[in-house]
Amino acid sequence: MDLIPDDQQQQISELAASYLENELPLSRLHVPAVAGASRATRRAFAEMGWLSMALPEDSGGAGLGLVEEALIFREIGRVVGPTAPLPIILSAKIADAGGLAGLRDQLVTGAGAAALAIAEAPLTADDGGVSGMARIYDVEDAACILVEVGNEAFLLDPAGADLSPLPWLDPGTPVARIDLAGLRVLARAPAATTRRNGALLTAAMLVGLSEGAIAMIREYAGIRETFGRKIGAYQAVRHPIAEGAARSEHAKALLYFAALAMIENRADVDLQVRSAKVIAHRAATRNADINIQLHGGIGITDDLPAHHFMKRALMLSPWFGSRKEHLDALLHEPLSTI
Amino acid sequence: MDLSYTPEDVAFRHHARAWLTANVPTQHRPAAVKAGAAFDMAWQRKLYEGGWAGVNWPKEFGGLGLSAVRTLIWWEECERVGAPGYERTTIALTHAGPTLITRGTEEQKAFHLPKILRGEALWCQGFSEPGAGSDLAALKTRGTVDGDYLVVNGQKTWTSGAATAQYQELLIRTEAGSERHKGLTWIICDMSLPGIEVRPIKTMMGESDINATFYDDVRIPLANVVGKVGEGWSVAMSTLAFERGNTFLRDQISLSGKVERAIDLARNTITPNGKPAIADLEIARKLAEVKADALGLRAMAVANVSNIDRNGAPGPEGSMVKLLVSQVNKQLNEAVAEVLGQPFLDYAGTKESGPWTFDYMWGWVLTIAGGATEIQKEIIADRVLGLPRSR
Repeated sequence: MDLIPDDQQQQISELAASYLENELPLSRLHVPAVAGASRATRRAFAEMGWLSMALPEDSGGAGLGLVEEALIFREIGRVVGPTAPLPIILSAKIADAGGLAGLRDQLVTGAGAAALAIAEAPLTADDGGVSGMARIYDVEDAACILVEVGNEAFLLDPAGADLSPLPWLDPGTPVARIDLAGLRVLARAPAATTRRNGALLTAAMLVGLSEGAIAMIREYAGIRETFGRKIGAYQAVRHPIAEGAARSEHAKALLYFAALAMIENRADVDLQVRSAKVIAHRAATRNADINIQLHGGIGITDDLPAHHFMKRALMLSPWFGSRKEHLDALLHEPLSTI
Repeated sequence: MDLSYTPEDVAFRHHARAWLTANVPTQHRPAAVKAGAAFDMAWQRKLYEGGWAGVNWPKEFGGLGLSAVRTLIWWEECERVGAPGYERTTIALTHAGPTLITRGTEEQKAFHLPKILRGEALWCQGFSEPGAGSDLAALKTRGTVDGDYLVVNGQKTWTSGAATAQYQELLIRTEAGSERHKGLTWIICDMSLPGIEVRPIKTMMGESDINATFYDDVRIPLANVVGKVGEGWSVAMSTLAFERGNTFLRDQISLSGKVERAIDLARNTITPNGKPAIADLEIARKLAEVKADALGLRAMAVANVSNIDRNGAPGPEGSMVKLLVSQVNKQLNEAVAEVLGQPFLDYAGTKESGPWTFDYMWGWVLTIAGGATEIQKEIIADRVLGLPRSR
């Protein structure tokens, strides 16, 4: 019984944190993205093995697990890093299990990416494929589109689909909107594992966002002065920050527990994973609010990256189950006996 | 990281479960003050005789010296069979005893620790005063040295269990003109001494197990001072790490069970529109959210025991648990009030007459006693986040 990262996991976390801090500092967010930057980032992530961590070694992976994935996504969330690795990792696992070695290798080397489709209206699937309107996230360089329909996860071939990005609230994630009808099916698999894995890693990003937002306002509260004092000395400022930090610890502990519940295939795995996403999402949105509000006027400007935490948390809300969907399901999940 | 238990831990769990199942009291804890205290002492005596007293006290002082993980297992098994919690033995077992272990003399330890473990002595806490609650260092109750005695005059308040405790951990100002944390002394006060008057304070729950305690020339032997005269503040703070690690473990574990009982209640309560309360989406989602919250608190309990066993001290989560547990508990109580509707108001002044209603009001005890929510936030801001000091 141990919920603290071991030495190797701690090292993975720290290496990721220092890399991301150097390569993707928050200050990058208020200058226009350099063309090709996200492609280079994807390749860099691939080189570090982040896109293939949990694949078996003979599939080119590192044979690590969900905890390590969650640790990396928590760090990516902390810097409002790219969401693209999430559908890539999930799609690579489906491709690997489905014998699509070519697609898998394209994904894990960063040569191509995977887009994520989330239904805008009920999606249907039959032998011919999937149809229905969906938002397609992370469309850049997509080699496949990952979509859940009922109890199945599909990888679709984006060839012929119009994936030109729409104007969109979160500039870090290019998004299109299409009808999935007519796209060729590359692979199909039971959805349960993909859905849990996706909800877990989304929760991990949200935990990172909640922590990153609090880190940002904590730093500012120690520098900014009003009425002759550092604002962090005012209880109207320090108390919401303290609550936010507690919210992050709460969400983080549940995230780790859920990851282990998945690994150990506990009977309450769905209850844990659903709860982890609900709590992480609430922590991310509330802490993003605190970060903007307590910065005062500068908080609503584009000179400050505070708004990106809020936009990203909003954007991740429907990923792998909305709050309402998870709440309605987890209410009736039996509490696992101790 | 893992969620599995070692075979030894599993064996310990089964051993604890077997004993608890055979020995858990069949009657509920009585609501009356004296009968309740007698019940708590009898349970402590039973724990002692069964070899389960002082689960997380060091072995050399008569405890079991359990690791944090096993302490968690112990509380999980207690929760499973509905065994009594600390109740009136709380101060003795989680505060006074550990303080004596850390700072007491050999004589003090030899006399008091076995009494606590055997259920022969209850303790109460004489810290808060009418003018010193959250701001404990503002306390004014005086102690004046007179030969081998400290002569105490003043008033303490919110003294839970004062009417039934044999001893009190009493924090007083012993240096005339001293301020704040200086000049204080922590002394063992025998509650049967002449000059002590205990007056019950009736609470909004209708019960009266908290008290105002008055001291009129109470002569306490100097041999009862723990630490040295004037070192009272550091003695009072010496068990902080102990408290952060353990005091809320049972609450963290029991919250999930309480949420499930509330969900059952919502399934079985027909509201005025003829439908079960659970059919109301707003109620259902509130309950679902506290269910998720409670799971998060349980995960934090595991993180807490992991940190204690790995590093010898709780991590940041140790300072955050009370804030979160007491807040989630309040949210649960609010949901239950909505579930029950008008019958929620049926209450005759005792816990038995309306357990959910009692718990609703008890919610404020949890967010105020033992460091109010606002003080918890100060602790996090100061000690965990290192924000600029507010005072």
